[in-house]
Amino acid sequence: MGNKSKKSRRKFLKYTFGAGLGSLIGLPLITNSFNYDDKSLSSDKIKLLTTDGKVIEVDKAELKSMASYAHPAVDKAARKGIPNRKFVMVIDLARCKNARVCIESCQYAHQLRPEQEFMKVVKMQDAEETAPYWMPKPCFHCDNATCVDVCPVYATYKRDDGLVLVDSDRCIGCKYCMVACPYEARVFHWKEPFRKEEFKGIKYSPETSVPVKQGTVGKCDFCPDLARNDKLPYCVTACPEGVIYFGDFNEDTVTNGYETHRLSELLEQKSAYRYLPHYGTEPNVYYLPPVDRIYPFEETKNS
Amino acid sequence: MNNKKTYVVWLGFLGIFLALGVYAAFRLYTQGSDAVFHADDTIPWTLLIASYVFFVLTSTGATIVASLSLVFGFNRYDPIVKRSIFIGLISLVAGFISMGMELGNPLNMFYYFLSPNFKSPIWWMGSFYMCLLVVLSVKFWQIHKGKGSFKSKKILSISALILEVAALTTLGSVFGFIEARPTYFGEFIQVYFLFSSIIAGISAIFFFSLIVYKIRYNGIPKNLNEMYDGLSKIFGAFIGITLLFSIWRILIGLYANRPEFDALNYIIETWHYRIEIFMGLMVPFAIMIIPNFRKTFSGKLIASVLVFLGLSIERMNMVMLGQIRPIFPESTEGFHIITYFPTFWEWAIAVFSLTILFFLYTLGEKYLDLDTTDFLTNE
Repeated sequence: MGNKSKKSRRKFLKYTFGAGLGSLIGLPLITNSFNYDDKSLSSDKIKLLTTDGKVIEVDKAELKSMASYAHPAVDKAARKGIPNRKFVMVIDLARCKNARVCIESCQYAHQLRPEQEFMKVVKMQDAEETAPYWMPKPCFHCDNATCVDVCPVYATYKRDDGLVLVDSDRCIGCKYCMVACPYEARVFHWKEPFRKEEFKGIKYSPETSVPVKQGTVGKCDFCPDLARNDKLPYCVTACPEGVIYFGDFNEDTVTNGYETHRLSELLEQKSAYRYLPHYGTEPNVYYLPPVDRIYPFEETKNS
Repeated sequence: MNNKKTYVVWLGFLGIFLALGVYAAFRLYTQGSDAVFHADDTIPWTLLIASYVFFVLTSTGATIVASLSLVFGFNRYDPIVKRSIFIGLISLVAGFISMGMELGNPLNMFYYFLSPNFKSPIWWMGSFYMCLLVVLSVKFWQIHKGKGSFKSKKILSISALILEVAALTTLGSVFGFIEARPTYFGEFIQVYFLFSSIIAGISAIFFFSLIVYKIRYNGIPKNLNEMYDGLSKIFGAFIGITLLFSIWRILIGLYANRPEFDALNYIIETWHYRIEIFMGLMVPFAIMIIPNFRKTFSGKLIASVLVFLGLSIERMNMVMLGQIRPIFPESTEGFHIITYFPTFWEWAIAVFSLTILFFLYTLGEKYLDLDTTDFLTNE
């Protein structure tokens, strides 16, 4: 009996201490993430759908960039990669309707200007007689990346987890990588970055590619800061059609957030292919063919 | 030069372009790349890369000509050695200015030494040209001061020649290694750069020295006539080789079925390509192979000016050829040719580099006695 009450007292102390410590660490983090300050709320409301299916009204001023939640590796750690991982993306061309939400969420998270796209969606047509289709095009994170070879200062580098990242702190802005990339996957930050104030004070990391530095090169980074926190890249979670699968080659698994597949089976069953394989760049992005195309092709308002 | 007045007017003329260039540079560093460049991710390399290629190839060409005397022992070319090396030096400086302005983030250049990528052709190219700048500076100082033993001069001259060939062919490989852009890719461009560099160098030597001779002696001094005629023959021969290369390059492009060569089909229709071939190569070639024209002062001067102008267009055409036809169908459907015209501020910076070249040459001609051959007396 006495033993039991001792145990429950210990349990009580453990939970109380745990909760206290948790709120001590967690509260500043949460408040910092949401960054509630004295700013008066605007009257501009926006309706949002919560994860449990409720529609709520939120003041626009309360919305914050998701990028502030990420905990990216910086400096040397950002060059090593996440151990035992080899990230891979599979894009199902049969599903893409050019909603362009992947582009917008990526632009928002990566502090890009409207004309800058790390993820592009291009209209493709293989022959005049065939129906066109939409092709989302991120960086292909090639195993034999030309951009890595040509960069004179190793600002672009290949990590152990297969990702090719750009370190803007080191980039001299010679644009050789842009000219050498067979997929034209890179963008140059010609203009002053958007939302500069919002990203002020955030430490730069090649894993997030923010804060953007004018005069340097940027590109799709597969959002490794999110992967570190077991989350999917922005483009994957944003896509309403589940076009983009993200996963780990070593674990042989990919998911689009709705479905999870064994990578090898998916690639085999759906006859996946890689773009421009003759360059020998060994891209880590696979495409599932655009089957069941609708003819005549539906142009979307954004096309 | 009626003389002081013309000199002041000339310096004032240069001053205008220097001031414009300084303002363009100020815009670039205060407002960013967008304030100067025709911002576009499909054509990332533009006029300043072409201008860099133009100046550094002129530099290596001029100094290769100097090695006719310094390395290969053709002593009849002694009188142009000092001027050639000086032209080589100042062209290199002009090239570095263009490149410095082209870089989006030049403040990170210290990483060039801290984290070098030995696989990158641009790293090697930059290193060769930096070494060349040092070697040429020492070489010029030796010549100017008349210092250095015969052996040290010879070693330095041979090192300079090796660096010149290494630098310009590595510059070719900066383009030649890009497999995704067939109009750049391959070994052709390195060899082409070697020949076109030589004609660029000779045209610069002709242009600068003939202008000076006209002002000082109202023509080429008699004792130098034979040497200049000899150099004209070399000039003509290399213009011919460069012309041959240009024609074959276009024919290969037109014959090929690869869609990437569409850019060549497009460019042969343009006025600037026609000027490059007809005015920049064919006419000077004709002038140089017809003895009655070749031997005249104006024949040499006109040929050098035409080659100088033709090559400045050629460098831009060459840089554009690999980019005007995108390698991926971006934003709009299918492949199409993108036309590009530099902004006013890009022109201002390119002209600034050229003005620096003229300005330094003017100073050199005034203070450094570029005509001298005294340095050879102890060899």
